[in-house]
Amino acid sequence: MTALVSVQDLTVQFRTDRGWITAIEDVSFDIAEGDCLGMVGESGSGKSVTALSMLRLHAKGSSRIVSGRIVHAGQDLLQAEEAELRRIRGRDIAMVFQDPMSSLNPVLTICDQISETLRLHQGLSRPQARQRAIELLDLVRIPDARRRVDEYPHRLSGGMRQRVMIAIAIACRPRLLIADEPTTALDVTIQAQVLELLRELRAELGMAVLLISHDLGVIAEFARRVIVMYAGRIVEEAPVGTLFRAPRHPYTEGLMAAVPALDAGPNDEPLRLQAIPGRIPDPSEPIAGCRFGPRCRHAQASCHAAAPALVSIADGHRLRCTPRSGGSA
Amino acid sequence: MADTPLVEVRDLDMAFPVGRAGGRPVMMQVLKQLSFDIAPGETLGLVGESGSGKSTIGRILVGLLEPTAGSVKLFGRDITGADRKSNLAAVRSRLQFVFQDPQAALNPRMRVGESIAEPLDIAGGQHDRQARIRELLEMVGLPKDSAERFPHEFSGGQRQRIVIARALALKPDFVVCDEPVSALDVSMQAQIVNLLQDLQARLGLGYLFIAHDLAVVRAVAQRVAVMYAGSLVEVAPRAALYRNPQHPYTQALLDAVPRPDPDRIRRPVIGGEVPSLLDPPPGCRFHTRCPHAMPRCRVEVPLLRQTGPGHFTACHLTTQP
Amino acid sequence: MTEAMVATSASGTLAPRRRFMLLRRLATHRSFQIGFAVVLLLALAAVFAPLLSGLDPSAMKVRARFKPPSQAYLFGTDMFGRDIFTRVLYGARVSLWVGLVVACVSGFLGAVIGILAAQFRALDALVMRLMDALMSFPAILLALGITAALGPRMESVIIALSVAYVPAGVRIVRASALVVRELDYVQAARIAGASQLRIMLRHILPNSVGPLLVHMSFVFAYSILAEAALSFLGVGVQPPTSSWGNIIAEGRDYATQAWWVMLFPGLGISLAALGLNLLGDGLRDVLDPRLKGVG
Repeated sequence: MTALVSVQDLTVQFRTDRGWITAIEDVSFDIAEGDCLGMVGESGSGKSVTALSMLRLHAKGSSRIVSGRIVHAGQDLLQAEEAELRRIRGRDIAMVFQDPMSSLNPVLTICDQISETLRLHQGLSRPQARQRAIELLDLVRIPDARRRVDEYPHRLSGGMRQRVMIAIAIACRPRLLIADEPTTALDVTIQAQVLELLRELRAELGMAVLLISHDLGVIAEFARRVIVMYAGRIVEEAPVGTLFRAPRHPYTEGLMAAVPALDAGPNDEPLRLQAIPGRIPDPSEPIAGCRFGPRCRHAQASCHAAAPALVSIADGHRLRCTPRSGGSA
Repeated sequence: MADTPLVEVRDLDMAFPVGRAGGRPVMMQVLKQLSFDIAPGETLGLVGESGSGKSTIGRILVGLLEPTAGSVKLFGRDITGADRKSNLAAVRSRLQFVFQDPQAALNPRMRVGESIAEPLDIAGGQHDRQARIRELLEMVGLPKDSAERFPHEFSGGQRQRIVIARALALKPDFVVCDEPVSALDVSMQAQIVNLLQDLQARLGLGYLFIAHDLAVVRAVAQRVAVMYAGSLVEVAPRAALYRNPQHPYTQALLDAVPRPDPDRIRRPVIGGEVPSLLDPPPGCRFHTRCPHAMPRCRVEVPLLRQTGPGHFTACHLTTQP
Repeated sequence: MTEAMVATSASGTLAPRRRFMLLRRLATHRSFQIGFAVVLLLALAAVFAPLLSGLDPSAMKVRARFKPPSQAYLFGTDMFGRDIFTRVLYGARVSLWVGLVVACVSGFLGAVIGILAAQFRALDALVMRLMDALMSFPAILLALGITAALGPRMESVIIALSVAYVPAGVRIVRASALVVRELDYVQAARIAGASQLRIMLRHILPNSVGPLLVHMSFVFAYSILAEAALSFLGVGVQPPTSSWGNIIAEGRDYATQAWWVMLFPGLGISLAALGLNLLGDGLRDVLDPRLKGVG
């Protein structure tokens, strides 16, 4: 079954004072129709770079796609003409960003901003677009939509602005919605509301969602499949249950152990947080072998010698760890 | 005076002018009638979302802001009354602050050693400066040659360690930590949280740990206070708060936090948003979102009342006969 | 000490040091390289004027009047038979010196006043109104007025231009200082009990001067142009001392006869201004994003 979007061997580099450095390397994954994929990683993991590259939204001057393909509806998005890409952006694949404060244009009304995408992709007239915009605001549960649609972004709270962003993104019923840390800047209670909204929309519109977050809790409660990224590479991919109950990569294990537990254990002793020693490597640092090796409790000599490959160890479970994927070097 | 609380806050009010209307300044009531204590060597966790006023309290406690009403006593000395300046000067060396953003908390043009030693330099007196810098670096787990370097040469987690080292320079007894780990990656957070706990055990520090992340607070605090729209809604020992939250807001907050457990049954999500502080709802400020709101809640502001051992809640539900 | 050892290994090592990053970036910036080279060339020409031309700039040779550029007289001669090449070289001394002093003085005053204004509310209102008043005069007119009052001399020009360019510097520094004031590291110093003076000198000043440095390079260029204009109008440097401006003034009446008299000092002014602008662009590109505190 062909995937909706298939990312293959994507490698992206950034330009810095010290030359070109690799931000992500050999990233490959598929997103099926109606899929619910979560991508988790810390800073420097490359998750945002991956998302931006999927729509070729990376900064042209200071970053470049070295290799890879992104196949959607039979064509490679990385080779497509700019005009074709514009057709796809917003209509087939849409994106929601992290910071609601800066994602909306402060000098345009909500109506203008939602209408923009409607009129571009669906050729609606002004009154038609306005009506649809009100419907969309209702869909994202903004109260008093008829009045709100004519307001400017600064009159709305962070949670509301994020809903407007989502409304703009789903306006043309895209088949894939990429949400890059959509709730990170929001309060906990608002975050819960927005995640619930995303879940409902996904069910109603049958669209696939790629949710990117550094928050393991958000990923656990939203995604069906999870990709874990570290230092620009995918280190583990698994169904959500498997990942949280039986993670196989030492980094994933470390991450789980480092997250403080909210629910009390039987004795109510707060568990001492298990920190992962060391720090995330700078992208320009050359590391021979596994990039997590220097921090790994279970590292062996072979880990520092050769970089491990991403192999499938079970149905839907991929792992990049030589000792644990049954490899010996 | 071993029994003097580190911090005593009584009826604290804080309002900011945010503009003018009809010739008079419009005031935004950010803190309303706050009262709490912190004992020596204790960690009080302060939890709240945006608009709760938790950061404002932190700044008032270290003397950066002057409250509009109420009193704050540090080590028994009132830093809000008539002798404000002299009292603050007297206790200054015993209190400190750890900031949220490690990038903004360090002067990019000053070497790390200079930044760490600055409180020493300001306080004057005799110190073996170099030795103390080295000692502090070691205490927070930074490599010895860090002192000569500049902040930009360090990662976020390391910068936060530098900020903590600076906070410890004068051997304080009380440190306000304002979201000290929010800007850090998860793996870094664990390191810094562990570090803060180790330092507390080693140096007998008291902390006011301000955070929005309930899980992190649970890992560090002995008592927890929950704030909403400028008021304290619940204060309790840690176990009691997390096991048996009594205020509807605390319950909603705990329900809303996502857990790394895909099998967890999700609780209903609370609607609405934090009210505007410029035009707060009458009575209990939470009543507009509260699933249990009663007519009384719309008119009468609930006071913080004892509802269990060391457990205080500000809710009419808990005071029903 | 096991705790400390575990903690040390936990924090991770540091990357090897790369010193003088800013200077390195500057040195490799194309605009800066060109601008710096041009300015350096002019400065060296000015400093070594007597070596480059053995002639006396004021020496008049009636028989050599209005000679076009030739091997003997590189830039030709003027109506008094004075060698233009020599006069332009010596004029460079005046122009560059005025530019440098004005940039430094107005920069220094701008920094001091700007930081004080940002720190003390009461002072701020007063200072800004004063600066607004000064800025409402076009710089040239202001300078004209001051030099007229003080008597036409190089020193008057320097004073006049410094005054004219201070308000812009104040604005720039004040804007930066207002931002820096609210940053956490300044709050940290306040919490530790730092005096106002310490905060201003150690924290606010070093972090607010970036844009000022860029501005100063442009002020240098403007001053050269302004000095030329003032000398051209006769209220600046007086003959026989040559300044690029007054050479042009002298050549004005003979524009058709001896075009070289006006051309070469004009080229000097253009070159200096261009070089300084490029230098300033380079500075701004390198300093600007770094001003946010990122290394």
